[in-house]
Amino acid sequence: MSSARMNHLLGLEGVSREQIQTILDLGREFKAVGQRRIKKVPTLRGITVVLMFIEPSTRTRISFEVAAKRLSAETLAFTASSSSLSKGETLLDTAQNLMAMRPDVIVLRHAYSGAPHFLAKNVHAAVVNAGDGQHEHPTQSLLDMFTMQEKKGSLDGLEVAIVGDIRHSRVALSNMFGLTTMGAKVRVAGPRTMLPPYLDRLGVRVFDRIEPAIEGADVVMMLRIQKERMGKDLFPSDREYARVFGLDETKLRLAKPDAVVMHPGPMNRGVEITPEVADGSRSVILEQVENGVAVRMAVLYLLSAHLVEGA
Amino acid sequence: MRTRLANCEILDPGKGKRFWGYVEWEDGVITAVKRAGPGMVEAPKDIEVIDGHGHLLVPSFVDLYADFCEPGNEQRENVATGSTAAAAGGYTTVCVRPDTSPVIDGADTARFVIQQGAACGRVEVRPLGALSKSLAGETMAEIGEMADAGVAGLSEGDHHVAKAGFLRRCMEYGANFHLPILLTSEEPSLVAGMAHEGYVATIRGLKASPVAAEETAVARHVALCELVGTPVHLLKLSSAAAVRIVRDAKNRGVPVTASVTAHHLLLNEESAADWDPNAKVWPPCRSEEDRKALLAGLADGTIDAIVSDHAPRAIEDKELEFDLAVPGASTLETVWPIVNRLVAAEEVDLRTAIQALAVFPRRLLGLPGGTISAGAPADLALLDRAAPWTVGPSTLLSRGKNSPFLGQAFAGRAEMTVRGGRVTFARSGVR
Repeated sequence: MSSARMNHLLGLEGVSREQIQTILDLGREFKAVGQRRIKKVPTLRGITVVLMFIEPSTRTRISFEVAAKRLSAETLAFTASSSSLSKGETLLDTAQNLMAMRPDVIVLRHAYSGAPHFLAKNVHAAVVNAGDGQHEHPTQSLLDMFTMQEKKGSLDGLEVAIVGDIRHSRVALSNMFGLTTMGAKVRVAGPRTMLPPYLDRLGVRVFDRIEPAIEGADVVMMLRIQKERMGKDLFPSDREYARVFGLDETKLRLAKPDAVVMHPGPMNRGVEITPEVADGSRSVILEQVENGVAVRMAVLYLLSAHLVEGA
Repeated sequence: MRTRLANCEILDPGKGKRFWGYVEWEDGVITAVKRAGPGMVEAPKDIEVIDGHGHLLVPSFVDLYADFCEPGNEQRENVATGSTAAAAGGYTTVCVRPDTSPVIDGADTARFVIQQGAACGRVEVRPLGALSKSLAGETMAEIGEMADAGVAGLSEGDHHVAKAGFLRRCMEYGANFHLPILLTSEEPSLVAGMAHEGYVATIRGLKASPVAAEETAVARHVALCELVGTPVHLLKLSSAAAVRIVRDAKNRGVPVTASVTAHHLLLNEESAADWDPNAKVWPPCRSEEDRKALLAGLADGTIDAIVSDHAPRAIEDKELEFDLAVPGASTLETVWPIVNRLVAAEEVDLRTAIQALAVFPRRLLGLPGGTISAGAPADLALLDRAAPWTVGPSTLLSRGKNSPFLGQAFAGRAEMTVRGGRVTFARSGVR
């Protein structure tokens, strides 16, 4: 297996094409492990992984937990629905308390941007960003790229449309960094209320309507609309959103005939995606979940394999 | 007893000339300014002589906007520690924000702050009285009583007055007492967070505030200033748009003046790129184009003053996620070092900067001085321009160690401050 090492995985901004490809290649090997009857290898025996989820999350936490366990690492789950502040503690206090458990890897999900970077500066452990505020979610993008590569062979020149709430989506930002680095052509579309400024500087094309964005696309990635944003001042109603920005079978016909449909989950069926499309033959949404475990195994391996005694 | 401060490079910003010489004072008043040196020259026996070591001597600085956090947040700073930091920054007068706890919205609180300042004695501490009771923007504070108690001006601090009609009435009523009105400008409904809405916020996932939030509020304040016809000072501009509106207003004769912080002249949006809570300031440091426009505004007189916006914060306010950290930077001791760096980089003219730090604020507040000449108050700052030092918890005298420049080296800082003929600060080695 590859001997490439990383110190942290905080985001895909600035991560090289070679580094991303290393993770994806390694992910392929680990996917094979997950398809065996005995899905466990001793690779990271003795390694302690803290899963620190300071924001509600089920699927990402479980995905990391399965990934760590399949590599024989110890896992400690640390979940809280609020930040340190509401407990009267600073983030640094939290970090120092964590260090008392002497973890090798900390997987952090946090409601505020930059929290994993703060942690990485203040702990002696490898930090994996499992989603920070509206900033990045690098392992989600890696599993998305893994899935695209598996389905399409190469990311180079691939036409990828990302549709929905771009401004508040860490999945979108990580994918814009990762996909453009890998040579894919990224288009984004969504209500202007949900598009941040200067997207053109990221090398992506911005569309006002979903139709031109998905026309001729190889991949259509729909983003989740947060329920709390519905009916506020970002768009008028979920009904209008579904009709104008949602993906249905009619709109999907604009994409390439072999285009695949992705969604980071959890889906709002009937809002950003119709059930027919979500469960249809073009959907690879459940494969994304399976690939998530493989990619996260690769990330944990690259962060900590060098720490395993005798390795 | 006469005192002579000798071997200095004297800059009187009003006259613009810079020369080697000495200054003498007695009973708090300058009695002589003479060309001599460089170097020490012989002095009569009955004079106390201080060696200025060739440093720059200017009128002391006057700050229009600082937070001394007393009453209510003494874990961050109090009037005494703030006064010490101010004197160490070359200041002799500091106007403090009304958004304390309780709010400075009546004569009692105003008197308390003034007395705390007098007890320390290092700087003259002048509160800015609130426009509205409890800063709620609903009921007018007792402006007349606060005026008699000695507030320097009126301000709603970092609060936005939602009702333009109420603000108008406050401006009109305040004019009865000849108090300057100092306003910050941000339309809160446009604000999602405290980073500049630009490229850096996009790629770092920062909740942001667009230039338009400042722009619309500045335009509103200029319109009210024009309507009422009494002077309004717009505090800490941050954007090119704000500079443009103020420049246009001044050209039309609207009695508006403006200030900028030293850190907004040096930093841009990149300062928040690594989520450093100490770089979280309000308003945010914006784009490089905005920074350049602020420099241009200072150069052409659109911006009249440089303010510290000193906002000391406790450790527990800052060791947090960027979005949760309390905004503000401890700045009184880095204003001159920043200005000196900008002068060295030829981004700021030295004389213009000293006018913005020492002359205009006195004019706005109706204070005497701002010049180095016989008969003027002996309020002086002796400034080093070269010796390297590093910003850190041990080098800042303020209780607030929350500087965006922690660990950074600067050249030069204030070496000595004289207020009314009394040395209120002297760095060891100077005296």
